[in-house]
Parts: sequence; C-alpha cells; structure tokens
Amino acid sequence: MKVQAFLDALCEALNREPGTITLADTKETLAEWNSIGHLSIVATVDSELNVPVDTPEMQKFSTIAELVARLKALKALED
Amino acid sequence: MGARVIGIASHLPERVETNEDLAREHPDWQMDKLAEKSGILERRVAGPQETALDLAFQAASRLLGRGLVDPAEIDYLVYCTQAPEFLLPSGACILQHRLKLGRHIGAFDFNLGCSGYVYGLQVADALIRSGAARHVLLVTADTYSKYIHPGDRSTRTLFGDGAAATLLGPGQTWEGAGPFVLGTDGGGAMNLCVPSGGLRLPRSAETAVEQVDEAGCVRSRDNLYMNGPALYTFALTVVPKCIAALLAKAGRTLADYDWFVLHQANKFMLESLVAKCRLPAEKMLYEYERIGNTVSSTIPIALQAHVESGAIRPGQRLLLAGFGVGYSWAAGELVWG
Repeated sequence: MKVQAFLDALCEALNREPGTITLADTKETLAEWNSIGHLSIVATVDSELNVPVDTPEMQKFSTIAELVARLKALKALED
Repeated sequence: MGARVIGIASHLPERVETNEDLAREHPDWQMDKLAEKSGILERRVAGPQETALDLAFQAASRLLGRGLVDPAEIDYLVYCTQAPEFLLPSGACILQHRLKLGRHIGAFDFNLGCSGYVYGLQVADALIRSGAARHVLLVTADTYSKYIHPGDRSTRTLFGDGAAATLLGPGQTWEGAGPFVLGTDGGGAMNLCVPSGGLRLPRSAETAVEQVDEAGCVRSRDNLYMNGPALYTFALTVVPKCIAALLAKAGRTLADYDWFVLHQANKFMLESLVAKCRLPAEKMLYEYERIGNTVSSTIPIALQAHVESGAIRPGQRLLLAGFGVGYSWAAGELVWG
C-alpha cells in the first residue's frame, strides 16, 4: 500500500477529513489520538496491511512518522 | 450423553451508571466519542455491601425457582469468579449452603475472566459425559467495579457487574456441548490485572498510592489495570486462530452455525473480530449496550437475552468464544436445548 493511502485510511479510522494526517503528526498534534484512537490506528494496521500487531513495536508508537517507518521496514508500505 | 443447557438466568445489580453520569463526573472524558467506539451506554454497578457471590446467589435462585429440575438432583456446582468473597473458603461452598443444595454435591471455584464461561461449559460437559455428574450448575459472577478506580476511564467505561447461572444436564444424544478448543498464555498476565491484594503483593499504604498514566487515567496498584492495545492485539491474533481450530476439530465451516456469540467485550473489539474472522454479520448476537462487559457472564447473559427474544431456538448450533484476562481463551460449540 502507498503511504498516502495508508494516511487516508488513518483519517477515516480517526474520523478526520481525508488528507488531514501527515507524517509530521504526533499524539500531541492529533486530538483524536487518545487511547481509543490508538486502538483505531492499530486496527487499521491490522485490517489494511495485515501486519501482525501482537508485538510491542506495533503497539507503542507516538508519531505517525515512527509508525510509517516501521511499516516500510516490514515492506507493508511504499512511497 | 453430551451436556445440554436446560436453562439460564442472570442477575444484575440495581444501580445503573450511565454515560451521562460519567460525563457529569468527568467532563473531559468525551463520553459521546467513547460510546461511539465502545457501543456501551450504561453499566450496572454493585452496591458497597453487594458482592459477586450475592449476584451469583440471585441468578442461581432465579434459575432454580423455575422448577426445571429438583434442586436435589443437582450434583455439581462450578463457580467462576475473580471477585472472591474470601481468600478461602471457596465461594462455591458458600453458594451450596445459601442455595440449600445437597451436601452430596461436588463444588469448586475457578478463577477465570472472559474465557470462563466456555471453560465452565467444557468442565460441565466433561462431568456429564463421563457420568461423574448428571446435573451441573455453572455460575459466573464478577464485580470488577470493586477494583476499578473511579478516575480510570479505560476500565470504568467498559466493565459492568453481573452474574449468570446455567443449568446443564444430559442430552438426548452425544451432541450438545463441544467440541472445545482452549488456550493459555500467561506471558500476558500483567496486561489485565489487579497487581496487589494477593500474597505476592499484599495491599498496603504503598500499593494504594495513586498515579496518573500518560492517557490521564488514575489508578493505584490496588486497582484494575488494563493495557487496552495489548488486549486488543491479543484478541485479534488469538481468536481467529482459535475459531479456525474449532472448525477443524468439529469438521465444520462457519456456514454450519446458526449463531455466533463472542465474549461481549465492546463494539470496537467485536466489529474488529467479525471482520478479521469473516464471521457472518447477520448471525452475530450482541448484548452489551445496557450492561457493558460483565466478564465471564457476557456470553450467558447474551444467550439468555436471545433465547427470550426468540432468536435462539432448540436444535440450533451456536459457536461461542471467550477471551481475555490470563491471557486465556476458549471456543466451543453448543447445540441449543
């Protein structure tokens, strides 16, 4: 999946307008990224990318860039 | 003969705690948004002097009051709780006495949470199938509210107190309850736990010290702690495999089941599992909006509600799955009635 398509899927999961999440976003910049929002992001990783999410790396992240970098390393995302 | 369910009854505490109540108490909790995800609008909370055993007694009394069997014919009582009356003796022994069941019966507790009902069904089925017992009373009850800090949004909004009693007896055929697939991974033990209060870490002034986590939730080590993301990913990883293993063991496909009753954790978890396991949405049964997650009682309470609504009918084949604290999980088949 392309990074931008994944970011759009995150927008949908967090009930935001498409295109309103970027690699610069963090827990601090996204009001929707609370504990439930975090689960929504994890769920999106699972459902959209079918990446195993039962690892600490897939549960603990605090910036979008950090998450995307991990998913790119797993070859689940591409530019 | 395999075990069949003769009847189910439940009991909930009188006190209702609504999302509006929580929003008034904690205006920063964004209860509307939370409810969209959890699907839970209210939950029941036990009174200060009301224990899980009290709820269990009420549920069992209601069931026995229906006259489905002579109570003297019950020869086993199995009680599942994580809110024991005492460290010892077993709650099952106290329950036997309060229910005036025979002194000839077997009775024991087991400590499991959201997988407990399916485990209990397997134990009851094994007792009946082996001839060790003819009628088994399986009782589940919990009062997680006693462990939850009032300032912990992550648990207080989800869990509710409640109890259920299920009476099982011999069926007409070898069909009935089962097969079952069980699983355990104690590596996840501390992701849903009450750290203090046991012998490893007795309650003390030190364990009662409150802390605020990064999500703003308040709790001490005397309170229930839940690592939501870890539990979510555990369920998403384990439940699909467990259901697949059950299908293989039973020699069936999803199409062979009339209804699916999963542990009623919350809407978000259930929707994720339905999608992940490719379960047929029209065959899913739910019962959490008005009671929340009642731990080991969610499945029997849902069964009772949908039997009473007429959805579940005799002869229908159900797939049940419970999962959570432990980690512990179980899936099983049940032919109704």
